[in-house]
Amino acid sequence: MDEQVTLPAVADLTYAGPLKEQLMQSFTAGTSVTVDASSVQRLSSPCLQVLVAGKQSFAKAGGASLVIANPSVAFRETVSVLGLMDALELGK
Amino acid sequence: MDPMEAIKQTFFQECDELLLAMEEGLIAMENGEADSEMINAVFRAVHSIKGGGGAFGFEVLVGFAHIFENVMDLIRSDKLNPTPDVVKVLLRAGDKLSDHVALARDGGADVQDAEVKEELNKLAGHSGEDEDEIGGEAAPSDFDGLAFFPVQIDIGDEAPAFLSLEPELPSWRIRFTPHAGLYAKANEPYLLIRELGMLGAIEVTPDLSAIPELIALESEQAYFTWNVVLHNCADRTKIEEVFEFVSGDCDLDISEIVPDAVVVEDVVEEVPDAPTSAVIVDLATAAEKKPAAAAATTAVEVVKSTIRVDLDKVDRLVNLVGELVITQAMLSQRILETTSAQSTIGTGLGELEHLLRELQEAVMAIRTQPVKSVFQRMPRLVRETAAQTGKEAHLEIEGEATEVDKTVIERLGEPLTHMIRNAIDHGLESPEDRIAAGKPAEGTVKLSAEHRGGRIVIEVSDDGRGINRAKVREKAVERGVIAANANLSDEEIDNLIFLPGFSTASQVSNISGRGVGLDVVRRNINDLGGRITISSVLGKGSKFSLTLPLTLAVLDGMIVAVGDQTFVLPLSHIVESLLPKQSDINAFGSTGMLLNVRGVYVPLISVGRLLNVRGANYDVTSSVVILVESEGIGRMALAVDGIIGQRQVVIKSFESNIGHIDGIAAATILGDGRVALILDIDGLVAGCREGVARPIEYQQAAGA
Repeated sequence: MDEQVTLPAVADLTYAGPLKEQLMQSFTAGTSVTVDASSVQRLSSPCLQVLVAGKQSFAKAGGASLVIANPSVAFRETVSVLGLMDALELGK
Repeated sequence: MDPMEAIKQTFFQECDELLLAMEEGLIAMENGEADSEMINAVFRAVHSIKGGGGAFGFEVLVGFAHIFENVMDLIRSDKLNPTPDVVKVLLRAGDKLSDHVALARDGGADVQDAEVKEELNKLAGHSGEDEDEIGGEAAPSDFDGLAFFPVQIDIGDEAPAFLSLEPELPSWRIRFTPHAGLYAKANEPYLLIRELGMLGAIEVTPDLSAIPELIALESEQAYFTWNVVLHNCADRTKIEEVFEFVSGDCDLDISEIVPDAVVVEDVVEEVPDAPTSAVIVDLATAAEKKPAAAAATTAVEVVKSTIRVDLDKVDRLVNLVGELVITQAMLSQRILETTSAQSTIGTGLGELEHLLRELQEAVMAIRTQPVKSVFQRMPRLVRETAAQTGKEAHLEIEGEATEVDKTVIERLGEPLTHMIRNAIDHGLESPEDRIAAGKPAEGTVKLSAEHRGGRIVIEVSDDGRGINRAKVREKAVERGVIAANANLSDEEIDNLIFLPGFSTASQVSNISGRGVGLDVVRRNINDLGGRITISSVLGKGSKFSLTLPLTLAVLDGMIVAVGDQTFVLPLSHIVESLLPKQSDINAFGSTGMLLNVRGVYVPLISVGRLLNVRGANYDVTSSVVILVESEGIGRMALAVDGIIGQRQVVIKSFESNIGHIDGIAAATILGDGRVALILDIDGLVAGCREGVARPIEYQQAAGA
């Protein structure tokens, strides 16, 4: 069963630590994780760092994967302005 | 003009600039001198034209640009090697793109681009498999591929399509690396970059090379770096303002992208053969993908900023400085009349005059532009003309940075076009003939510009067959231009080819040979106050030299007195001045006169009588005669009462106020504040040939 992480409405610096821990759990367990980004209103770069690093680490390890699901408009907007659409594998 | 039309105008102006940039890039590629920046510039030019064209619904243009852009994209992403053959197709595609733009602007026949389109498609299709690879790179299995993905974003309230249509404003490369402190203070790069997007179109490329493994990541550290290319932002300070509040918490490097910047890796020049250059281009493109190398490149770029000023404003400035010079001349004349020349005022006046002269030169320099804008249109002309005539020709350009007044540049295109066509069609031999004559099959046409003695000299030379004087002479006799036994010098024979309706081409082609060409060239050049000369060696080639004034705003003139009026004769037309003897003057017809100048009779005209000037001396024997060269009927003698002097005058056009007057080119204000008319020699001569003097119009002008 895939892990499910739901990003909060405000994913600021303080959330980056908890997010990393959650992703690390799945990563060490070798299970795929789906990050639900549907309710994000504000997304900070520290959280994005965690997501990008997670994306890379998962892919490198193989097997399990990290998928971002249902990105909200705000999430997409932030990621696209920062040029990270490809890094997070979000289609245009 | 409705606003949409105005925007369209701007689009076409920008298209012209983009097409020039594209041509420049393509030629550099042809010569194997292109770096990745240049290839990118070509890509961007095509892309911008496509984008703008789309906004106005020029679908055919967009369709073609799209295919072209695809091929350029393959080259810039290293999927296609710009071999000489490929570049040739690109050059032709560039020509077609210009045609498409012209078609969209002016209408006319459809562009015949099917062939080029097919070749472009072939190029694009050729590397179709590679295209999948591009897709593959984006897959997460390849982490290196993740490092750099340019994302084009247009943000802001303005219509985004037009943001990318303003290439004249500088572009900037911004490298922005936030520190952990930036995040700790709850500042957000997203907001900063979005704000940058308000200044102009941006391309954001994140640099993810510092991102560690998830396990090693510290959530409060900063790992991102962003490379942002910002287009069309006039002011560096605006960019700095965006980062004002985070300046202590990030590394920020802002540099202007100068399109023409010389890049260090430009070793290509020594080894211009194609395979090597392709490798270097590869390296350069590869290097750009590494952020470190990108930073190194920015260091080389030179910051050079320009502003775009309305031409009217510059003209106003030029006018004002002209007035200032006149006022200064008047002032010093009055002061020197009333005080002794020894006084300190005299020294002060001298300094003032000196400064004013410098000021005038500096202001004139604002209007000058490099001749590059005209010269750059020529390579295409050479390619096309050579293809049409079945000859092989290569164009060498020299001195394209030579600067000359904008008005001169605008009127230079047509004569140069004629001359270059002429050089290829008439000058160069067919490849077989060239080989038979021991020359390389490919002919060389050389176009050069330089400053010489306050004028600009433009030379068009070819290494073709030269002027066949016997043939020219034969043709001239046949046409009744000269008598069969006329004794002409080589130079005089060469000059026959400038006569209207003269052509030695046995076959009329659609390029030249219709006899309208060189006479038009000469008229155009004369209208600009310039001269044209030929030197030619049979079998070795010909050289046409144009000498032109640097500006049309001031004029070297001879000031002459006629009755109570003062006139200015353009110095470029004057051959000599002399005091005639009674015995040299012969009556001709009822009112005409001929003057014997060393055995040659030229028509003699009294300017005073022609223009009905009050108080003029009608007796030509006691006048000064000025021999002028006019384009229409050759030499002509003008009788005036006296010569006052020779000086530079500021041209004041009155055409906008009282219309065009035959025989009068413009007016000027002399040092003593009087208005003097500048005579238009060609018009004057034409007027008296018709037998109609224009005293009434002249009096209107003098009274104005």
